[in-house]
Amino acid sequence: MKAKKTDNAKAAAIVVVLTILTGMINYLPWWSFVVPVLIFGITATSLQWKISGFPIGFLSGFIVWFSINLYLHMISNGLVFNRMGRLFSIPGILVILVSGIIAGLLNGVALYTGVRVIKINIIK
Amino acid sequence: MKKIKADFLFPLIALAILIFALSTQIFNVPPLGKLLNPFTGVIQNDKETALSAARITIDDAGLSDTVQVFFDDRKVPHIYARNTEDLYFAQGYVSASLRLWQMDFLSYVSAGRLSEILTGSRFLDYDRNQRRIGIPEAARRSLAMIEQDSITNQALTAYTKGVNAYISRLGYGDFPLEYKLLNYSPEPWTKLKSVLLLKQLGNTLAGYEEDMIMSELVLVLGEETFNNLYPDFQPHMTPVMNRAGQELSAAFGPVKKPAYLDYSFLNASTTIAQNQYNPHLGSNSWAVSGKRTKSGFPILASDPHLNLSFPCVWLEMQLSSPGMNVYGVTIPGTPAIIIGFNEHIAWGITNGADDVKDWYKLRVTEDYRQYELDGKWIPLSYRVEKIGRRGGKPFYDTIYNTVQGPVVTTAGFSEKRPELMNYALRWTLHNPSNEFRSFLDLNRATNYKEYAAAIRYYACPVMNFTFACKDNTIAVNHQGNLPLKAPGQGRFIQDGTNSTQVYTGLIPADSLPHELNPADGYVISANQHPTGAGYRYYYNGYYAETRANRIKELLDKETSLDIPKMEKIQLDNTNSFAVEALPVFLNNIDSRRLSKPVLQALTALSAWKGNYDAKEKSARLFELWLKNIKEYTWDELKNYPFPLKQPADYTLLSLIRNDPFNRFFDRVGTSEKEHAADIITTAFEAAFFTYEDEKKNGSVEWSQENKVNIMHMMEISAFSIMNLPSAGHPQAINATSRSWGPSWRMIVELGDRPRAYGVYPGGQSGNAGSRYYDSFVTTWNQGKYYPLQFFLSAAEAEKHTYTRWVMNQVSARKITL
Repeated sequence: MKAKKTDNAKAAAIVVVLTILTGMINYLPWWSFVVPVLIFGITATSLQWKISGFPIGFLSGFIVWFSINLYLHMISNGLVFNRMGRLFSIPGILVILVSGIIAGLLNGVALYTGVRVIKINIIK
Repeated sequence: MKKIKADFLFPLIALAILIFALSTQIFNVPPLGKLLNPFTGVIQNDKETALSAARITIDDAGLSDTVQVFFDDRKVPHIYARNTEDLYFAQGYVSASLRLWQMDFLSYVSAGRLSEILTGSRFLDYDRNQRRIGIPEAARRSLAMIEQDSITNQALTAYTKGVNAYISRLGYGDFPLEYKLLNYSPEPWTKLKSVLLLKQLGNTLAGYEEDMIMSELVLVLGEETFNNLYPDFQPHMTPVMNRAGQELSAAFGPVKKPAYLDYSFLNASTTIAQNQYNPHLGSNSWAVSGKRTKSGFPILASDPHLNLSFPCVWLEMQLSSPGMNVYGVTIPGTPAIIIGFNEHIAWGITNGADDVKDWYKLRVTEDYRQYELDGKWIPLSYRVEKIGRRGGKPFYDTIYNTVQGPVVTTAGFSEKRPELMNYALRWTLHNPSNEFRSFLDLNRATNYKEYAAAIRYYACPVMNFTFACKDNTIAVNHQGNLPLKAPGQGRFIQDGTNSTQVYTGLIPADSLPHELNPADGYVISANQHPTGAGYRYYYNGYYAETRANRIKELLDKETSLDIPKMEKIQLDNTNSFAVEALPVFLNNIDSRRLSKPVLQALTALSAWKGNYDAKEKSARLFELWLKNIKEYTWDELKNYPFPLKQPADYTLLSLIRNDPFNRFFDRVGTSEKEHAADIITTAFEAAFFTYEDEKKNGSVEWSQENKVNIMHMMEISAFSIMNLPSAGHPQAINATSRSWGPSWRMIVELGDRPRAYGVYPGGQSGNAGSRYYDSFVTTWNQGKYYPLQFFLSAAEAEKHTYTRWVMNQVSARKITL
């Protein structure tokens, strides 16, 4: 199954929105966003979207965490990530990069899982 | 056609493992996923919303009336309540909002509960020791007593409710950083936690003792030498009371070795552990009456020296309710102001430094069922304490108790103090007491009578309270539970089989050392001897005389004191011992034996005034010289199988002056017989060479030697300030040293309106992501002060501040429900 560019773009946008919206519900566990992302993967496949599961999930997760952390870091005091960086002897910006990679990995695996739940045999 | 496939299982499992790994602390790596998520992770701690918004309304706070909290530009809260309960409720709420993790963590430290949040056997050992020395048990008993006192109970209950009102509003995203890093949650505050914090302060300040070393020393040295080297009194003193001095009373004089104390009694075959307590934790506080000030009003200065930490042990605030308006510092987690002032009075505190902790050697049966007292075997009582362990089963520890006190080291727990196997600990900290009441009453006191009545409640650790009132009354009180001891009692290990050795009485409150309006117009406390040797009752302790001597010298010079002059005294870097010792050393050195460069260095040093200023270069050379002289003189003592306890510096000085041929000046391992001049000369040569080496490898400026570490309480270096070059010396009034020093500098001039200045090494916020976490450190390090904004009314506070919290009462609907 070859991924389609438009499907990928739509999927990425939706995963970004889902990750943000779930993240904003504070009483849910921090990792809850993977659930809607996984479900979206199932739904998209059943709608016969052709998505590159892991790369699109990774990219969307990375963008969300990296950019929100970076944005908050810039508009707030900008102290916490630098201190966290000192904890691991790396610059603060690398910590933000690590955060992006974490969300990327989770969303990547979640979307990949979702996409693989259903196999669609298209009978021509 | 759609078909569910099975091959999604593998990535699903991988996803679950990833989530688990990123939510869990793995070795030293905190739960990264949880921490770095942008919605509730650490970035949420990177803001100041609550401290910088113009107005924040807190509804349904649980108050009976509206409370207003104004934050000034340094984020000092000024709390205005309409009744006492609401005031302490708000104090609890505000303290928690600024320092929740600190106060909560300290309560774990004090209660011996670190194993609940930290893994590792050293924390279990710590917890067991903390329980065995009796801190949590003492806190429980004190709380029972406190609850009987309605004034204290009301304040403490309200404070507790306030802290809990804050905690109940927190979601994970709002948790202080340390909870996120250590991956645990705040638990509800309790009155017991507040009591635990005061007991821990007592543990820090009244925990030092050296009974075992002194017992060993009196045995190896003999009574006479022991008394010469470790006398109870020195001639170089400025005691808290009766500064003019007195003849020796019957209580003092040479200490006698107790008859039971011999080698077979001690039978100390194990090595003696290094003492974990710091005997140098001191403080300065003095007050001058109007007859010595420019304005005619009294001035009080106070600077407690404690371990320097992040967050700082102190939190600055103003508390105002009908009948009370007080400003100063509080210990987060406890109600009231501990050191401060109101419109009428100002007070300061310093550690009393008395020995209130003693060990009794017991005779116990092997099965710990009985111990011997007066020839009879009596049952050993015990209790079992449960120590929760993170990620493991609880540990149950059995703690035995005797008439003297708890048995700390037993066969089942001998790592911490092996030399004290089966010894009972008698410590005034164990007695139930209500120190809160002293501070609650002090906060609203308006004159000497009310001050004196307030401090009567104060028990442990013994403190010197200095006092000044607008009416020019000044006073100092050495206040607290001082056991009534026989002469010499408490300096050595006691015989636990003899009930007559168990002291039970206390020095009567009226007889405790105190001074009221002395003729010379000032009172001083700086951990020095509380009395001269003429005092009626025997006591001993770990006193420091140099700072008090220097304060007296500086105050004597001035008859027109004002705040800038007081600041200068508080920041004085002169070590009065060095001033006295240098000419003695110079007189005794054999300069003919010195080579030219060494002689030049000596000439340069001879002009030194004993000051430990940041740029001073001679101080380091003197330090090296003194260290060498001490090492060469007391080398005999190093050969004993217990930690070295060098006699006091003043003792060494007297010996050089009066007995330069004393046998201690003869160095071990040399064929010649050295005397004081030989030691002083070779010590200087050696010091010179070390000094020159240091000069080649860097700077010998004093601040490069005296680098301060302000450590985070969990020793997280990323949350600490390390290697801060500083002026000062433990024996100078500015007692800034590597890990402890002036933790709050305050100067108050009373008058129509109090004028006050202060600073502490930290910041109001305990949040390492806040700009106000370490905002005072540079000012503190530079020896500068902030004017303290003491407002006379809420309207005045409103006019001079920007941020305001309005805390509303419980809504009417809630009340009817």
